[in-house]
Amino acid sequence: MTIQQQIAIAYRVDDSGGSLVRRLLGAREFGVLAATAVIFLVCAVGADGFLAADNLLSVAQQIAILGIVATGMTFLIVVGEIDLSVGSLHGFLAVELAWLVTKVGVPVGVAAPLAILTGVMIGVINGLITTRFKIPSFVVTLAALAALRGAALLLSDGVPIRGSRNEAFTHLFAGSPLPNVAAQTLWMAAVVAIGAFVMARTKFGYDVYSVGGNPSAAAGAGIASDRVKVMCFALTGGLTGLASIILVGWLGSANPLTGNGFELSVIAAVVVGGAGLAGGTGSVLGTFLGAVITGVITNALVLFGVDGNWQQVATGLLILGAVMLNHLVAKRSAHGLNA
Amino acid sequence: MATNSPLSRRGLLISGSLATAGILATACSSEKEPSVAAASSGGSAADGPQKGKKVIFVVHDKNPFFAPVQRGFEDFGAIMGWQTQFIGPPAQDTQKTVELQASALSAKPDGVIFTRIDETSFDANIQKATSSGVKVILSNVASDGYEKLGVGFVGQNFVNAGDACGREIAKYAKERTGKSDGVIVCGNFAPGSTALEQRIQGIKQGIEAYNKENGTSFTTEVLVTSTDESKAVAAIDAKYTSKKDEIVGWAMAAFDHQYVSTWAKGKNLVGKFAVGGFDLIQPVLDGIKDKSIDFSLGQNPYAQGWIAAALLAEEFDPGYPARTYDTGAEVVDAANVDAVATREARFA
Repeated sequence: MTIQQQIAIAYRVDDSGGSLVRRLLGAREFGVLAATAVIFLVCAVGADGFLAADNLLSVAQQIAILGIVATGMTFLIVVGEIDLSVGSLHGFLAVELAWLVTKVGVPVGVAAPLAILTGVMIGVINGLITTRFKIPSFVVTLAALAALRGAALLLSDGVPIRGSRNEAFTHLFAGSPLPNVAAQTLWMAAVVAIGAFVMARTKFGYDVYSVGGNPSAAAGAGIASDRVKVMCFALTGGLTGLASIILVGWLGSANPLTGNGFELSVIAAVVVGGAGLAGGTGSVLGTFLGAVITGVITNALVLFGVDGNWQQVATGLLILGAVMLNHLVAKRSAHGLNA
Repeated sequence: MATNSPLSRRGLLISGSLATAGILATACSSEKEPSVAAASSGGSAADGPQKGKKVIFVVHDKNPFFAPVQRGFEDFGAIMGWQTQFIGPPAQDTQKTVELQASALSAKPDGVIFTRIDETSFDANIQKATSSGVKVILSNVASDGYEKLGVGFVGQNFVNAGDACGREIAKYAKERTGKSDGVIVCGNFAPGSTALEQRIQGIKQGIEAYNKENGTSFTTEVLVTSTDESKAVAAIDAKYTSKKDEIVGWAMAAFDHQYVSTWAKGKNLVGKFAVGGFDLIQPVLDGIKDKSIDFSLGQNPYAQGWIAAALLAEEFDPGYPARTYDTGAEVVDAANVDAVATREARFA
């Protein structure tokens, strides 16, 4: 048995084998899937217009940026680290892209990949500081959060910058390549699908679970923990860059305050999706469902006619309820499997 | 020794107990402020000439400034019999605001009122609304180019209002310090906000105009503050530490002059410089009353809810087209603060 196979068994990465019900109950996403289904059902019954196709497609469009960044954050949280700077990085990269295009004159076809590259580089720097100097990523990325927000304000001189008006760019990142389906939604679907595959079916994915779940065992198995962690930071930075490109394509401008507090939404989606902050558990599919839950709740509260201040309270309580339901169902299904 | 006698100890205990009881009695007395009858429906539909219409107001930031805006909106909605909803992110967030607008449009409203804090981000939603027959009015902030969208706007002209603020602060700076030069600090708690950046631009313009007209040579420096009081006070204190007596005035682009007031009172610096800014929330009015703030410019937030809703009602029936309404820049100072405080108390 290879080390990858041993890790896959230890962390239940492989979901093949057994009956469909047994496999479903064994899937780590079952709890969050149940929570999503309950919330979806309540909204479908109670909120007028919730099930309308244009509303559901609108929700899918709204969670696209969250879903993309949260996919990267899932890798980081599973590997046992965290990135608190993704909100500021999102704002900085959006401003950088708009600034390069409209203030410097760089073609958007060059500026957009540069934004992703910058995101990767900032992720690598965060990762290297965390792993080489043994400083908790919470602290390193907290510092990055402040520095990147300041950098966004400096670069933009405090005011929103107009984005690219290149039609091909707008069409690629914010158009409607399929009838009524926004490009953002398709980008998210692609990122989630690839992310889920990488995490569940590749050596890198196994390494991520291994390093996050049992660092000493991973080291014993010859896995280069630090390199895996730095790659997770880089992945999160790169996906944040992609999210920023989509945002600029969508809104047509970049505000230096973009992403203020966004890191909390991202972390909430990952945690609601079943990931543990201690590392070793979580999945991209679960995170996607976590993002769906937060998007559906925000949308449904408007459709229910709930007033703004109550929406904050209701959102918090519903997310807590979803996490508890997820936890309960996951516990029961694990108990059922072991029985 | 007297302190060792049992009687003295008993006496001390008794007097201590009495003092404690007194303090407790004071602490337990009610400080409840008299309630002000609310005229608003709070979102529920009632009878009215446009009963059943659904109108949703989406703002970019639910800070205290918007309390009277919401009240004005709900008051008018109640008169009309509308079903009203007032929503927005807890802190300024363009992406979240765009998402809330999209959800609001999914709720199939008859009309919406939006804030437009930049020139592009909200246009897709506005165009989607107007093309599907949903009436749209902008309130509070419209940003350049809103006219091309064919919608009306109810709010302040920020550059003009900033200009008025600049002239006022320069006048008070000269009065307070007797100097004809020095630094006027322009505070901004949300760099990137079009409204605040335009006000700062206007403040600088107003100070320059005052300099030319009065032979003074005041200069300006921008300070990033915060809506968080402790952060704002720290920034203000640091600025004062670096400039000391060079500072002759503080002109804040929003309601952050309340933090200058708090800090100046704590440091015993009231009267050493001029203090002004915008908006008429309770701490600002209290500052004008206790003279730690010289003036504040109102922008009639109640009208930004009430008039915006009224323009929408006109569009519903009889169908007048959208237009623009300037809510002005009302100067509130020691001369009129009591009357204004009474007026604004209903929103506190």
